[in-house]
Amino acid sequence: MAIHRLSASQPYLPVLLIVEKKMVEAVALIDTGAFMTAIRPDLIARIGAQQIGFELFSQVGAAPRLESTHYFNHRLGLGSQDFASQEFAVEALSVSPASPCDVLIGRDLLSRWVLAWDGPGDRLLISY
Amino acid sequence: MADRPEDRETRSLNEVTTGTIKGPASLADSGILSTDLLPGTFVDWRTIDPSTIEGTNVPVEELQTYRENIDELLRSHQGQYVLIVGREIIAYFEDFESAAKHAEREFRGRSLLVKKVAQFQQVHRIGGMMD
Repeated sequence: MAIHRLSASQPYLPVLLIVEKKMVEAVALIDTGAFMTAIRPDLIARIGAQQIGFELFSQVGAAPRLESTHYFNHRLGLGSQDFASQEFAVEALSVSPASPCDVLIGRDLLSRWVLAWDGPGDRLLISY
Repeated sequence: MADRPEDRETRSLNEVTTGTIKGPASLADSGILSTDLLPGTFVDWRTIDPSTIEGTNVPVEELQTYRENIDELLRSHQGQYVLIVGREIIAYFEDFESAAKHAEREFRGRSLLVKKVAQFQQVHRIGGMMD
């Protein structure tokens, strides 16, 4: 089992998005309220991720929408240009997060991780 | 009868469904879904006509194929992932990653659909998104 120790004071995490041999570093936010991982559409276009589906999603106070989904592999960032070796296959919605980040890490991905949030100790432990 | 949330939503959706959608933003207008969605809301794909979905890159043929074959898919492959290209069901897989990898390797750049075979599809709630 891999255990990664990150800072809990920073809201954003570095991640590496991988499509075949292309890799793009991106900024992600863990969103426990998101049912599904989402990635900015322009980033999806830039890396050329394969569209694999079309899913229904809803936002608070807005009508449900259908939007395309794309296949990525995802690696967690551990520090300056250091990334975990284990990849996770993800089906990501093509929609822009409201927060200033590229990726919302949703419960589809979080369901494969164990998170321990230590606020006073400024530690976020992620294991899988 | 069990009074689970999904049962309540399903009954409600079936009662109001018309089978048509005017566009991606008008699902509620069509009566297929309520705007006051609760977590765990589901929709029956039988009630959605893919040819009426507006937008770019809509895999209309694949969604139509899924819809037309859903009863047979549910009988024999419920819970598995199906790969559909055009009007053809290509293969079934036990997990998403196997299906997505096969799709990317064999059909990269083409319109296709990887979908978990289920009678009801969850509406994914995502809060922090731009309009």
